[in-house]
Amino acid sequence: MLKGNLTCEDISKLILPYIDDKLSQSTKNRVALHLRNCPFCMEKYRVIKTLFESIRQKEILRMKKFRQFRLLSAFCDNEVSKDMSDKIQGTLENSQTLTLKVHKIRTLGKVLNYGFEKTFSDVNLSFEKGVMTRVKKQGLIDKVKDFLSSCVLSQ
Amino acid sequence: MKYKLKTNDLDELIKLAQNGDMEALEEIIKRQQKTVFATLYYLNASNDEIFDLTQEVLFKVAKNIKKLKNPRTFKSWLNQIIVNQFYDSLRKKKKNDTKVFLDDENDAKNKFEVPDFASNPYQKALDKELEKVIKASIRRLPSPFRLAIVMRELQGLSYEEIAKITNSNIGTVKSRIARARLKLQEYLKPYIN
Ligand SMILES: [Zn+2]
Repeated sequence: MLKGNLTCEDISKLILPYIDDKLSQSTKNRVALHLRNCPFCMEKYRVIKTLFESIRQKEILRMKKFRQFRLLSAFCDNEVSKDMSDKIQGTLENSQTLTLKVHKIRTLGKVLNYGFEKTFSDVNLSFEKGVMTRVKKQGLIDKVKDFLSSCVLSQ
Repeated sequence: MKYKLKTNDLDELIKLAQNGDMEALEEIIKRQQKTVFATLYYLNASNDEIFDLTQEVLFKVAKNIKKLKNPRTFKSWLNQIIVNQFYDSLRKKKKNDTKVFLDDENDAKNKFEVPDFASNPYQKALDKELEKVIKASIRRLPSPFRLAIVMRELQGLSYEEIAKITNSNIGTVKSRIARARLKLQEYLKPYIN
């Protein structure tokens, strides 16, 4: 615990947890008191606080953008509620940016599916014979096993 | 072909197979092999094992068809088997290999030559190019994103089914699909705009 008045050096250590609101109430009060009385620390505090604020804003904006995209993506998959779907439909009519985003998601789907279809359109696979032979063999083994265990049981 | 095999109804075939009809079972395997093969291919199974994996998945389908309670859930049941089989093989490979298994490491030996009989050579070249780019793009995705988008776009499963198969929740599936799409839009930019 820091005793007495906080020094400028103390403040430089406490400034980040102070901004993140991670200090106890009493320490917080003492930092605030120092800041009020020390223009040097106050300036430092302002600069850092502004920087953090802008980073946070950018992060929030990025998250918002992703959430919006995630919603549109689910909308394209018919994975949103009827209410939400109607709401999005309404918004799309008024927003070119959103319409373009939905269009891009759908086009991607078409491109992928075109590729998927083309991939093996010319390949002839015939796994069925081998699989059926194995299944029949397995069936036989199971029957023998059943038979043997029933022999053991009836003894 | 017998009358019953003319049916397009998969549910019906499944019910027949569950009652021990071997021809119906064979028909199911025949119809599903391509989708199993393609899914494993896009999930990035290596060429030397993709045939074995497909065979193994189809065998499990045939062997366990009687355990499928509701024929309607066939597709997600099938994909559960595919995904389990695929990850089992990865685990085994990790155990056997002293070096870490990297997706891209196989790239060089992964020259899967698909026989091509399309008539129009120009279209043929275009398709081949697009197919290559798509596969490369899907390969670049981190594996949870890859799995989610393949299950969605190739298999057409619902978010709920994908969540069950990947043992995650719907919110996670929603995010993974969205992230996969953002990345694919970036990788496939020249083909989308
Ligand atoms: Zn100070």
